[in-house]
Amino acid sequence: MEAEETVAALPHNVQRDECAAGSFDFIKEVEDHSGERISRCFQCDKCATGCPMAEHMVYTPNELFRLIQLGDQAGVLASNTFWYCISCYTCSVRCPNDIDIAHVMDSVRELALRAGYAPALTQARDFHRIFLGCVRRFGRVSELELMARYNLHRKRPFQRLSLGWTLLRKGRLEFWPFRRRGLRELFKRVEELR
Amino acid sequence: MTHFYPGCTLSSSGKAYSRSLYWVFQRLGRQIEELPDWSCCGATSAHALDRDLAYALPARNLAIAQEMRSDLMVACSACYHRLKTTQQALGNPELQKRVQQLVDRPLHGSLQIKNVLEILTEESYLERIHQERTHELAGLKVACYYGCLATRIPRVAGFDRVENPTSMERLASAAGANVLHWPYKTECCGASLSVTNEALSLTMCDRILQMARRCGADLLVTSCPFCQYNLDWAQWKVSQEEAQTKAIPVIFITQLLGLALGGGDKELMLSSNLAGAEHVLCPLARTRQPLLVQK
Ligand code: SF4
Ligand code: SF4
Repeated sequence: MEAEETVAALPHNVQRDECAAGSFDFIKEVEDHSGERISRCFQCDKCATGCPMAEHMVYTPNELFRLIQLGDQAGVLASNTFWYCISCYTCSVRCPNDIDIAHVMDSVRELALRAGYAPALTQARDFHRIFLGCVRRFGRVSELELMARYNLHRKRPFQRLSLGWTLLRKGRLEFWPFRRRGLRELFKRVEELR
Repeated sequence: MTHFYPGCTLSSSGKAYSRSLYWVFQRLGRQIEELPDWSCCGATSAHALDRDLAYALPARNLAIAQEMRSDLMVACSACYHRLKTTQQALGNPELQKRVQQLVDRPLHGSLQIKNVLEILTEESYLERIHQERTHELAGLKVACYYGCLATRIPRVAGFDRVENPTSMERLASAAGANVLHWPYKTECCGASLSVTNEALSLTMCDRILQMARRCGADLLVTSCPFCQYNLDWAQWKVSQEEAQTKAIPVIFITQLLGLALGGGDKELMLSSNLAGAEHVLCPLARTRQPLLVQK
């Protein structure tokens, strides 16, 4: 009964009949990439109930899962759900079907980027890229370098100056916490395997 | 043998955590050694964009520890989460082979990855903390805040209950503080948004801080450097723009233990608190060496 209603209430104009005739390719792709069995989801809605970001999502986690089951690849990959997911893992430890939902969000985000969908939160993607750039070069992340690069990237070099000054004054910034060598080889091997 | 994996945050914005942690353990008779040549676990960013990196970055550190036949002690909740998750995922032989190739080091054998809270709540430490207290914390009403990552690791048996952890409460009472029970101890503070979406992050912090205030807390105690920074920053940020009611200082659990064990500002870095902790901690300081160095 509940499940029926949730499906009927999908905010997306998916034609159920249309999708029923759709393919299983997409759910297979997501399941293979994440290693999680999304087909197990029975719309209990527990994930959405505890999600601190649900109000910002076009589709709540359970709705997104329903769309994956229905094979609506474009609807899923263009959505903002996995961009607003902040990996708090509340859903993952509560799912009665043992689906690591937060991990699926990571997988779908990766698939969306790979397929060329524009991110709903560009800053988040850029921040992560800059962060990983720091790890690649130095093996460890200096918050000072990270913030400087992020500000430069956003063309707001003077943002958060007073915060930076306060952190510095209170002894909470480190200038050189790096390893001597970065992790370039490791990153290269990851890229080659892609 | 156990080595300490500090992670990047503990050498900058979370410096007070590592400083107080080293001191507290030394005070309890345990010398801490850092994992040699450790590297970033990629927390939050690696798993957000790239599955292979998400496993390879923590695995590199696991491999180093395994080569030394050592276990790991981890303080940062995000690092702990990534290291544990990776270890669990590597149970899959196919993935293990793939990651081993990426890391270019053998990945085998088992090692224990322990959270600092897990180690500190071992009976002997709890007792010693209780017995070796030199300074009263009585009257200090403390709310323990775990944040989201410390206890929420899917499919991994954690060191504490997922929905209602109690290890910090046990530690704080052993140290002689007055522990409050309150409902938001595992709510997410939105730290991963504090750079990219300040407004949203502030709203999430505000909810938590208001609840702590309503429950009568003088102090929030946490074991996560991201939570500490975010909740501290949120109060600092608000205080820059409007006169607000007194901040609820957010300090690390090891700083609280250090207070009871007689540490001063040099050992515990209490003055590194952005929103200021003087109004709560200075009344404690009447009978002791400088607790806070005013900057
Ligand atoms: S908690 Fe699990 S089973 Fe329930 S709706 Fe969410 S994903 Fe589906
Ligand atoms: S991990 Fe993501 S989807 Fe799950 S509850 Fe947290 S924010 Fe929501």
